[in-house]
Amino acid sequence: MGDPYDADGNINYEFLPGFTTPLGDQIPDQYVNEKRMTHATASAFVEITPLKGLNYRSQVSATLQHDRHGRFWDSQSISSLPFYATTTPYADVNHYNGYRYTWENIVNYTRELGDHSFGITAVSSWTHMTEEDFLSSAGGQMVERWSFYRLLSGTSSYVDSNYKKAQKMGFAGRANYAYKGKYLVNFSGRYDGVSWLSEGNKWDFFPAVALAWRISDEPFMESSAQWVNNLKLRVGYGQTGNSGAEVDTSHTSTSLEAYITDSGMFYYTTGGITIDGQIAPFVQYVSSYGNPDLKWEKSTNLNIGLDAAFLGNRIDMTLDWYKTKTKGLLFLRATPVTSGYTAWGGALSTWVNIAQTENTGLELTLNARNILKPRFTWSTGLTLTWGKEKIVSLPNGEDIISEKLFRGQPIKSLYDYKYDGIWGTDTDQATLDAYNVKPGLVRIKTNPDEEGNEQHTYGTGDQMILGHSNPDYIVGLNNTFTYRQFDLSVFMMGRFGQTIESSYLSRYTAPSYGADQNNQISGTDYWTETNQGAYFPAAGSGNQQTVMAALKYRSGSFIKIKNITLGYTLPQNLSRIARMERLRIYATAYNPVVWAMDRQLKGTDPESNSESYPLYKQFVFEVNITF
Amino acid sequence: MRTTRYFTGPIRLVLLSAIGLCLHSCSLEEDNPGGFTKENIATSREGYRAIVNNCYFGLQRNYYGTSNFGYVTNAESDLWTSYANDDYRATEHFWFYANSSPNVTSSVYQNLWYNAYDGIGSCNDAIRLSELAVMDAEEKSEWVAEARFLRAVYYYHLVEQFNGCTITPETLEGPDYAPVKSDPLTVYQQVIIPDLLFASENLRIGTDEESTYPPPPRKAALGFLAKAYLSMIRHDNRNTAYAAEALQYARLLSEDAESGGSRYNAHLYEDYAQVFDENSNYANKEALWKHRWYSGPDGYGSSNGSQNLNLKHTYFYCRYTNFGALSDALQWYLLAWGGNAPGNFMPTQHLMSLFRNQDGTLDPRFNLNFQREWHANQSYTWSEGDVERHEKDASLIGHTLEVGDLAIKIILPEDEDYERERANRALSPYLLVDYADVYNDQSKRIRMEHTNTVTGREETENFYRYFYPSLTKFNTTNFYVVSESNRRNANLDNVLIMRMAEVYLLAAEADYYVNGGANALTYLNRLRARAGAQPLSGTVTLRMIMDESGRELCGEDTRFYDLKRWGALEDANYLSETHPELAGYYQRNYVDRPIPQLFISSIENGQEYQNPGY
Repeated sequence: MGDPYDADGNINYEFLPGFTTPLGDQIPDQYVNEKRMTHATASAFVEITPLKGLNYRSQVSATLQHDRHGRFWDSQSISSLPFYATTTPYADVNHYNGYRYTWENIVNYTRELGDHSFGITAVSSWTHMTEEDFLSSAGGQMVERWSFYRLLSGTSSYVDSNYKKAQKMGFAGRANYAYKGKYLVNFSGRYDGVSWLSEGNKWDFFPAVALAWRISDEPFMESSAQWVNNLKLRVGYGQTGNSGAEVDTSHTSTSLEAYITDSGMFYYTTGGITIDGQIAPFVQYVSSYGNPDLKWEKSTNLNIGLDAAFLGNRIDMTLDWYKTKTKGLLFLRATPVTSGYTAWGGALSTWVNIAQTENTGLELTLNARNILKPRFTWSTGLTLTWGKEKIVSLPNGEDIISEKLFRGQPIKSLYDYKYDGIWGTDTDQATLDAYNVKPGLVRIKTNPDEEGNEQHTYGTGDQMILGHSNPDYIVGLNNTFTYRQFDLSVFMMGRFGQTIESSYLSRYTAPSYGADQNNQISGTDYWTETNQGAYFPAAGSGNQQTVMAALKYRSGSFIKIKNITLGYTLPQNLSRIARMERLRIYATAYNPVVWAMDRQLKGTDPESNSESYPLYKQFVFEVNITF
Repeated sequence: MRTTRYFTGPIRLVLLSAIGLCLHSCSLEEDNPGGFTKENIATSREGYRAIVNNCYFGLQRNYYGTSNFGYVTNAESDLWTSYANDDYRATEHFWFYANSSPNVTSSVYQNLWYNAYDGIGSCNDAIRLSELAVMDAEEKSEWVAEARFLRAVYYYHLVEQFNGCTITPETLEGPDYAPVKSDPLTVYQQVIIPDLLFASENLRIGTDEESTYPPPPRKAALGFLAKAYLSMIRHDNRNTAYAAEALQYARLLSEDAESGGSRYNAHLYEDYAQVFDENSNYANKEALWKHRWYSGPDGYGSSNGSQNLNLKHTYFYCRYTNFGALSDALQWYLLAWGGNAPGNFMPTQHLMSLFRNQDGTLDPRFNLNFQREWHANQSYTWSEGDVERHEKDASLIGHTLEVGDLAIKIILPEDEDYERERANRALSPYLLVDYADVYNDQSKRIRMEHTNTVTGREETENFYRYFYPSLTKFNTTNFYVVSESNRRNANLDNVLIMRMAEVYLLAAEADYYVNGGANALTYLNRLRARAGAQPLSGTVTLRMIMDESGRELCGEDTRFYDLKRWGALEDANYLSETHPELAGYYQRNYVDRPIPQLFISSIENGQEYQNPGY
């Protein structure tokens, strides 16, 4: 074995003949990666009230961002070079400028006539986003210290620049009316447009209506005014739209972006094609294939809600029931490669309005101040969400298996082999032959094949819908206690009903030969003739099986205590002696406990679903002083 | 002020909102000054050339010379088996899955399919955009011919591997989620033949130094035409009418080669040794089409992958490392001629038998193309176990072989010193492998068991089957060293995609169909004569042509397609005669590859599209 450091404490570059250190980036002057960001936001507004009840406000804001990202690699650095770097040392500098301007005009008119009150609002808004990038780079710097500050000295330079612009506009109007503050009616309409959809699809209209009835203000409620402090019924019905995310100034593009309806290309000068023994430039599609028919995604939402407060506001709750129908769900769909839209040998995806979905749910928030004594209080907050999503229709009425879109199921479905145990030695030979398996191999549920047989060699036709990755219920519970100067709060949450693809369980591949043979460590519950109730198949059987993927789909339901905080506040008369208005000491435990409901996932965190980074718990001790 | 009287109340309101709304009349038109679409780029000559260059992408990633292409074109044939003949190795490539389930998610076939359509899509774009390019008309038609030639090549591979594919004749308006799968004959008639005909008239004649650019030489299109026409026969119920066309094109080339190559620059080397000599590789005259990669820090892939270019030298060498005197981890050895690392291909008994003449001589091409002796590249002392295993006399225990000493020698009954070597086996200080130790001529199999003459034990494992004659056609010393310490070396030699010898064989085959083989012997014997082999005589049968093709073209990425073309894979009969062990696993459905599952699940008619048996 070699030594990472030499006698003087410097990093040893070649610690063994033929082996170079992985600490290459830490060797002085070998690797630089520096980003300097300047960000400025300014806004101003003018507000005038030309008439009584009429208010006009015009607001302008601007966000300016400039990044300078400089990088340098020398020959001992291990970080990977960008595709245009042909040699080391290599340096590149990228300047980014982002500008975002918003201008809104709001006109508001309210009027009261006795028991009636009216209001009208009109809004217009305009947003403009521009981004520019300038990249310069060169290799072969004569002096390492020059880093990326002296590109003139370099050879094999590569320069490029980029420009992106997007705009949004919207007009909205709203009229509301209230009678005696008890009966409220609201109409609104929005007309929005974005620049990144094609001509004819840029604009769309979204109307909405809402009604509310403050029941607690009614005369028949006066008798219960003691214990019912507030009761309000709300009904709303309206449309909203989604045009995909916009280009934003931190230039991390998310979904749709400018020029999405063009099929953008990129010109590569190296790293791809050889013609006659020389590298040759070539042009490829990048990102997605442009769909000129892309439209707004529209959701129609019906919402019925109840706000209530009881017992002198000791208990207050909000209950909402909603049903949303979305048409034209925006989805990035893989094109079939036979259509010839490819990049780097893979089929491009294209944005389409693919499905109609329906989402029904219930949300409840309940806060209760259970005990309110001078020295001891206890209050509880409960949130409960229940939701059910399903796809109502797909183009051509066919399920799209490659994107896991099935009618009647939510969009994030899981589709694969369904685990059904391990074949035992008690199975008769005829069955084993019919399935072409041996004891110790994974057993899955099968679909009948073309002849109607259930018993056949496992194939991709046996894949089935295993569940969905969004939870059915989410529950959150927060309890806060105070006793004299101490306070304690415990926040728990749980998610139930989701199925996850556990990356931890997918690690068990049971190879019979090869580098991973150490996969079957002792302590893993794998099948042997004396341990036939095991979860995992027999050791060394991985190469004979095609359905090992079934092992990793498990229920992802869990309950977590997310944090526990215990604090002590010094009595004010004492803290004032030390000239402090308030002194509070507290300790918080983050993620102290996780209970994964599934037996196979005990000890892991189904929420993060990562086997590389286990759940990390934090214990923090803090002191808070106010002067 | 007086003005306030006019700007009161509602008027003020209306005015302000009007101003606000007017200033919003900026439209939402999209402005893309740096806009980068294929249409923009195609207008310039350099830009259009970059579009045409992209047509090579799929070919260079997954076809001729790349890592898996050798398997899908040479294996599952009568000539090659997996190394040491273990039928659990690479069952997907060598053994028709050896009774286990076929893997429809195999990345090998997925890459073939996807990269072919990458190429077809790029070629379609190049052809469509040619009218936008502003450049010399003749050069433009050469480039269009180049794109059409490549398109035909991609379709040819799709049809011969997968037995049918979707025809995308031009750039589509939008994605087609329910593509129609055309049968092979339609693909040939609608795309392959018309494209090759256009290419054969519009490609440049080319010179020897030029391999892939300027466009592939015209003789490549002619050679492919001959092959394509012959391939159509089996797709049209063995209608041999196409053979006449094939013969015509093959003869254009063969006659040109015989008369000095003035018309198409066609050439057949007189000296067989020159065909695969690395010194003549760069400007190889016999190759109809050849390709070599560039390797360097700015070449394909990261520095970890840029040795994975031409990999043909990594397939055919035996497991010489099973003998301690040889290591494959010495950089100087890997760079020397014959220092190929061990590969996964082993010659079958049938391939060996093709070179062994009835009269006890060997076809000269055997010794020219196969290596049978290895010299130690590290010092090695005979251990007791090895002495016993390789049937040596006990006196050799402790004997040391120095670097450069003869370490392995494979002998055949046709060799002059065969008897002498056999008699001296126990005492010779090198590992002696007798042909009879490895191959069983009666059963036409490789011997998996061996009886040790020294100990008398009948062992279950035959240690000699790791040592066999190794194909040297692709040996070279022309490497670019990507990483000295990791021993990654990129082969800079040309891959010879098709050569004149194959055209002669195609001419013989076409003549067999057209004239009953009356002139076929001329072609076969021409190849034999230049190799120094005795001429054949008698009536030509298809089997004779198949055998001669095996001798001449073994390892050159064509045997699988050739067997299909001759109808030898329609049933298990031919394999039962030549490679009986493989015949045991043969299933007609597995001769056509599985359409990749990733593609099947992305289309609506996936179930119907997939090939039978998968």
